[in-house]
Amino acid sequence: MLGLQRPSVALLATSAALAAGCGSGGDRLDVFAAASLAAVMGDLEPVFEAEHPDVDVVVNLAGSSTLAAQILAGAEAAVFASADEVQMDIVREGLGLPSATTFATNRLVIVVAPGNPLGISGLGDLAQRDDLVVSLAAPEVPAGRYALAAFDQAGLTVGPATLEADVRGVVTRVALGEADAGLAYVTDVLGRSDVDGVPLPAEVDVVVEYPVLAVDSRLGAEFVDLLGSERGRSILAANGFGLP
Amino acid sequence: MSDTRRPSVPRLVLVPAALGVALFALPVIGLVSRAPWSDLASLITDPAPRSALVLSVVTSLVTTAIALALGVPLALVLARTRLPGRGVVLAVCTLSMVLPPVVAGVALLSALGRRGVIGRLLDEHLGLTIPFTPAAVVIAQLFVAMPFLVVTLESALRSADRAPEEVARTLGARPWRVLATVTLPSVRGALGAGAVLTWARAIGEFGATITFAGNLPGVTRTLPSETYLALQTDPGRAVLLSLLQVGVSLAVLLALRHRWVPALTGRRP
Amino acid sequence: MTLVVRITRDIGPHHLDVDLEVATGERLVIVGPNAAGKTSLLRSIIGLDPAGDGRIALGSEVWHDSATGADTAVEARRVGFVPQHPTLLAHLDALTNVAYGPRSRGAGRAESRAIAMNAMETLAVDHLSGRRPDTLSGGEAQRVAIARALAIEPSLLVLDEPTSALDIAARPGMRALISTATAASEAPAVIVTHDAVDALTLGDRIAVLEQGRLTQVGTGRELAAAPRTPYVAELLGINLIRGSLQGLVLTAGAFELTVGAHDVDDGPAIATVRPRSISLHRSRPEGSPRNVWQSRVTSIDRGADRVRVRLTEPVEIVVDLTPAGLSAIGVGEGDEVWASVKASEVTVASG
Repeated sequence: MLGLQRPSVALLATSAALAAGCGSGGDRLDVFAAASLAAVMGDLEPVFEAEHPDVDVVVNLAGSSTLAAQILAGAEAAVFASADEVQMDIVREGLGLPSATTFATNRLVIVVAPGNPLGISGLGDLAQRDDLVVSLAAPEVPAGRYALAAFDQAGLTVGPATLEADVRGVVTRVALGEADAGLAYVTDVLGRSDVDGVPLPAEVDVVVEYPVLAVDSRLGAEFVDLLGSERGRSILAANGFGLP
Repeated sequence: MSDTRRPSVPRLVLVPAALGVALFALPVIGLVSRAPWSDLASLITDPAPRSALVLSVVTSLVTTAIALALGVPLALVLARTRLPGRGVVLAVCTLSMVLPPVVAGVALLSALGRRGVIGRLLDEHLGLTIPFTPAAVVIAQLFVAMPFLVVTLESALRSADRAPEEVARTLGARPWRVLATVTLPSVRGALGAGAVLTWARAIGEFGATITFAGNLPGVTRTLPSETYLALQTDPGRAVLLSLLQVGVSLAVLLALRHRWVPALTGRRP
Repeated sequence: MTLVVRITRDIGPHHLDVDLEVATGERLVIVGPNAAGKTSLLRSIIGLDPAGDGRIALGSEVWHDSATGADTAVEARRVGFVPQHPTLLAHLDALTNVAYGPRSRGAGRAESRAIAMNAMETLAVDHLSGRRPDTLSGGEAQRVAIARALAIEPSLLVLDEPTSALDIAARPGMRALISTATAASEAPAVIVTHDAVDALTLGDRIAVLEQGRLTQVGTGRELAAAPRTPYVAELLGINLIRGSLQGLVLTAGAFELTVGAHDVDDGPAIATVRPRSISLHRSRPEGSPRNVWQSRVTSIDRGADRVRVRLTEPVEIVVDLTPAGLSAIGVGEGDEVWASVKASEVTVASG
């Protein structure tokens, strides 16, 4: 009897797993997340899908302002995880939703070449050393605003050689050797071997808060819960994010 | 009313043609209808778009001038000599026309960036870095736009009638005089069309410029870069900036239509 | 100044082998069938194409000498070239076109225009000075092209097929014009044509080029009296039959022709008969003419005042009749016919 049953049980389990994986006949959860959350979402997706076998998590990664525009234009997002509080406010006001919860924080870091060959120690170097080619994110994007705020706090003015359209571009410039230093998020530098990070002193630290919102969805709320759970927080920490 | 002119194309052809027109016209109409015209005043007084516009116009004109200075001789060599490697050069020219702009930007960095093949030497020996300068904007535009001139002109030169040139030589004209008074005038349609295409491509260039030259207001932020960034924070502003570009391009193309339309549509210049 | 041309050149599968001279003020006409090499020869003389082995010199100026490696560029040779198609510069008016040569050779703007106007007056086209080339008729453009060539005071004039692009009615006028223009200049002139009338009227001497080689050079009279090849004979409107002469009989295959009195040795010979000397008959004629043969009509060309009938088998023969004469016989294409010619009308030369 057992001999006959075991193959059929295996067959059932396989097809269930397949069905869960393909999402065929199951629910779909659209998560709109800021680009800097790519690794985090990649780690969370299988965890959530394991807990909800008939749900297929689809992550849409883009700049926070792009995601906000898409949601307001009618995109079906169940969860919106933003890197910019301004964009979150825009979405909340546009859809008439209650306040969002902060699920992670991020900090700025000075991006330098591996080994910090030019001996950069702080914002003062970026602002005052003429021999340095500095890259910052453009003020139109959140990282750029935060960078300027950091310099303001330190009472410095900086003359960057270029302003990138997104913060990842800053890291790329330094990695390619086109820029000597830049300001980016800690999470962008973590795990990369082609750049190093020089932390900012506590006095001029700018803390970036990441809000998340479930947009009219029970499943979405469960995803937000996962973000705030032990499991979620350990994934965030592993990827370099701070915890509120 | 005369009925002697029957339509020269089958009536049904008009349907896909109309769809084609819609494809081009609707986005522009969309821009015009969505534009927040009330914000126009603040945009005009804002120095950022103005400096971006000036930078775009100046760099694209410089690019066109350099493209003519380098591209005309190149086209002549490709079309009129038997030097080895002509086919390869022409293929590379055509390739850079179809290359995605960002790829072009990466290629330029690997050659002329601070760690690039040539850029490294420039930095070490002359202290010269090209990225993040307006020169870099021009170089990026040249890379993507000059092939238009070269390919257009090379084709016209290759198929041009040589008889007038031969007669000019028998009359005593030396090679430079033949070039200036016979050869180039005979391809002036292709020359005009190529120059206009080059300028249009240069002023619209975005991917290569932002990758290679960077993006600093007043120095390397062209109008397309300005528009892309505006999209992040103020889509209405981006729409107005887009309309500005459409307007500038349209004005120039209309003003020069007698130069390039005949050449592109095959009529004699 | 005498033009000396000695060229041996290979152009693809064709071979050009020419040795000729043109004296000061002389006009040499080069005739030949298509692909004979006339254009290649012209281009080598002008300098547009290489000249291969040999020498081209005009007086003391050596334009090309393969022995010494000398080779003067086109621009430096003073050749007044009138191409087959006028090829005026389309973006310049007629006067500027004519002034182009003097201007290229260093004359000032005003001076060039004065020279140009002069040349155009000679060719009676000065009234067209301000016109654009695309508004000129073929004949007008041709005249402007000749004026353009004369404006540089050439040491050699070269004309390529000067009448072939014109209507038959316009040709006599152009020929007269060319005669005057070439007579006015002391420079030797080389005229390429495939038209027999051009050759006979324009040339002081005629050089026949066939398959890259000169087959006969001489005055029109000399050529007509004793054509050396079928092409020359055809060109000058004469029948030519090659064969073997024995006494007064020329044998060409199965055909026998009794010739008139002569002093040519037995052996290979060329017999010539004027088309007008041959008579055609519906049936075998009786009477005195010694030569009678049966043939077939292959084509009939009706001209204004004469009819040219081509016969074939046993020999290719051309017969000229009056229209009345043809209708009296009543033959048409494909019909059998009898031909006859008096022996005294058949000339023979050694071949």
